Amino acid sequence: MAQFAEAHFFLIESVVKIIVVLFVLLTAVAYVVWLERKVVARIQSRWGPYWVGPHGLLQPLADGLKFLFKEDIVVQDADKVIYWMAPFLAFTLAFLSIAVIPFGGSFQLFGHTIQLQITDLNVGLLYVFAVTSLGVYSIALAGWSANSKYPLFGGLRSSAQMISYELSLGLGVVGVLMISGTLSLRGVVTPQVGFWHIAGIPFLPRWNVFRQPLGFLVYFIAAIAETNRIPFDLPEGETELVGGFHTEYSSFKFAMFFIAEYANMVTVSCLATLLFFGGWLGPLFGPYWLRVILPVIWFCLKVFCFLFFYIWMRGTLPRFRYDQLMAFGWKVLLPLGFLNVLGTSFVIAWLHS
Amino acid sequence: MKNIGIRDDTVRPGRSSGGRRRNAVFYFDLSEALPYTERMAKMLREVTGTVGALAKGFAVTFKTMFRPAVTENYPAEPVHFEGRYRGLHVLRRDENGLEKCVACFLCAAACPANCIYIEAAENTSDHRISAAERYAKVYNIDYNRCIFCGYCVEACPCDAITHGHGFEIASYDMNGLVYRKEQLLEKPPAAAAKP
Repeated sequence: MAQFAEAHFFLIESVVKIIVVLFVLLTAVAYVVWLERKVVARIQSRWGPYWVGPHGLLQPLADGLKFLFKEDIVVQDADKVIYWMAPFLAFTLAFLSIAVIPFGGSFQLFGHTIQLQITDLNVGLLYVFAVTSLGVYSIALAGWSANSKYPLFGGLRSSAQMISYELSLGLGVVGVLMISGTLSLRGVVTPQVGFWHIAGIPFLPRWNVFRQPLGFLVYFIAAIAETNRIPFDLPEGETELVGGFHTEYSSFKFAMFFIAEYANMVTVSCLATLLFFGGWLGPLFGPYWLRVILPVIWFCLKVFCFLFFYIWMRGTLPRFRYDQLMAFGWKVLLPLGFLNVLGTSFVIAWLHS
Repeated sequence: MKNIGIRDDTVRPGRSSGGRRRNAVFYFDLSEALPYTERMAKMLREVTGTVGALAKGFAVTFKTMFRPAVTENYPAEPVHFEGRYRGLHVLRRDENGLEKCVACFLCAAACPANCIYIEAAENTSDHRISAAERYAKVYNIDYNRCIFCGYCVEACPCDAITHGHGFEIASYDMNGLVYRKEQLLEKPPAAAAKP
């Protein structure tokens, strides 16, 4: 009987968590789009969305409605099955990785410990990398199946780019994994608790970014390339490829690519926060309920900073040329990643001897 | 030393390894016959230069975020025009409230779009419209054709036709875009309107 109740509780807990996380993520994605339009507008001395709701706050809703009611055009010579599959693939894979992202500590409810995470996989990081690498397929297939030249270019570019930068992405986090000795995203945060002290005064939180600055740099640059954002948005490249892999997509299928891109942005920002910036760690005070909520707030704030930086970068940097992109990925980022792994392992070996 | 910085695609006869293609910006030239320290210094200079340039760029865009927007909130607020904006034409009156136009046809002659139509008539002592001999009985501008080049305004010897700031002339009816003299004429001054 007790076992039965336990199973029930687990089921309900999981479903509630999934619903809440999905809802928050979808809303966040919608408002990252709004934020992006606003911030880029500010950089260009414009106002951005303004008319739909106060300060254009209902703009994402209007955009969503517009996408829903647009005509769904399918190219005549498209490979129909793959053409339909690609956006769904992109959408699904973008949302799968959020399952292992912890966004807070844990709390007690009805005698149960509830972790603020859908599931604490012990290979969480591997899982995220696996799922996000599958995302290449959606873009490559979208580019291929439309049977049109610009999408094909976009698809080819993206497969080359994402495969190249995935190596650096992996190498960037290896240093962190060596320090924490776990692939669980919850376990990665644990060694970052506390402060470094100088003469008894805490001056720096023990975040991995201070131990692995090079690793962070490599990870973050590779992550931007992985999410196809400016300055690495060659698969889309409006000015040269008319939108790249999603040129021939319209209506809600296009919206799915769009949402997937921003969901990926949120995912890599979450990952950067967890791996390098102490995840949900931050000052705690007040009563019990506040101590449960505050970590979530710290986590969201850190992720927000990353998202803001993404947008800021979009407003600042021009796009890479293709050969520059490849040369940078293979000749600079990858050696730097190796160097970081090598250096970290030497330091760890030296500390342990 | 002359190959510091961005290199081009040309094949350059190398000193050590013969002709090689070089085409990348992110290419640290490690094959030069420079001493090790100098090579490292070169590489470091390149990296610090890049980082500095990036920081500068990000600072610029961050600063512009706090600049006031230049957006005109048009339908909600009136548009701010520059003084020389070429909008809908206005036919001017002189200080006595008489029309300045003397029907000389110079504007119609200057018009490249051929959109000005004038019919002239003689002023008489009891029917005085302009200060000179003749006045424009009919003065039409066809805004289907007008390109707002301003040649008519330049051509006018009496400063009778000028550009105003009107621009909301969209219409469902082409006939409505042929503006008549009554629509183009400046309102008579209050003093002159009485008699």
